[in-house]
Amino acid sequence: MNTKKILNRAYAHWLKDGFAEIGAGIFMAGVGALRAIIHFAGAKTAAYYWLSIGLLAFMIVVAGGGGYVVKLLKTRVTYPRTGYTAFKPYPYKYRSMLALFIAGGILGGVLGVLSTQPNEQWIGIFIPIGQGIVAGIVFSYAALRLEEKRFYYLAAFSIVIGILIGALGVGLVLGLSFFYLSIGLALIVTGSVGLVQYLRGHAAIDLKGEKQ
Amino acid sequence: MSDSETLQSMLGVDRLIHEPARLIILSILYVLVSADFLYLLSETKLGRGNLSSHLKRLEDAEYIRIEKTYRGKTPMTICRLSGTGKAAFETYREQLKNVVAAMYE
Repeated sequence: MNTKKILNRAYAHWLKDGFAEIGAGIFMAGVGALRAIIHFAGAKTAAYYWLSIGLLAFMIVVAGGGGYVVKLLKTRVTYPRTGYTAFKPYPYKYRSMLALFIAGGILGGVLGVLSTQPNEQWIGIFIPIGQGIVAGIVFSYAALRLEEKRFYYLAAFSIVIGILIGALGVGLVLGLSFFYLSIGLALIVTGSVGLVQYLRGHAAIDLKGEKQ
Repeated sequence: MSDSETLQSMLGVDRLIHEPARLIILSILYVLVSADFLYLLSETKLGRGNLSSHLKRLEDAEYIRIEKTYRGKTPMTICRLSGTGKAAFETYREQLKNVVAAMYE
């Protein structure tokens, strides 16, 4: 019995209804859109600071409350159709997570410094392309592991949109904002398609009687 | 242990687990904290009566625990592996692994 495959099937089952994708898409699209608006507001204006606070509040509310909303939707929609599963906590290794967190912080700091440099233009071209490739690899891995075709489409879209945004040459901040907005919208679309397919394929089941 | 002894150890394998349907059920519960009846039904492709019967046998042997509860307004039958069941499943896996290895030598 390949228990890894059984666990992957359980993860795929959890993602099948599309709710988590839609939630992640809303988060990314919101962050991308707000960051782009902040950029257009102009640095050191009142609107810039208020919008920045708004962005932070949006991130906290969606990240904090999103899990609760997804769970509520699954209780009403998913569990009566294809059942309920509870996962064991992922065995994160503290040192690896800390190293990843520190690396992310350093990378963010480097990008922040680079964005103020005179050659910011070429950084704004290559960073979105790089992000697109990284996202493509991540989505491809998810597609392979979970055997969900739509993640392959997301992988292809990520790479293409990264190249397109890089080619536009709008700069680092705006480029990344557009990238996250695009990926967020793509996740909302694929998640919605997944949800519609899921609802069409699975009627709610009354275990005491016939399918409803 | 010699190869013939390893193969003979199959005679002592846990017959409760060594049944395809129950093996699948325990494999699923081994990787998860819990799963409900509907999920087990969709994964095992068993009939409702058949699945209920296998779950009852596993519960009687104290390999799994069954809890009838509600999620919102939806009644749910939640199954989880017990400590006894986990130990028995791991022993069974180890036995099978040794036997299969001996068969290929």
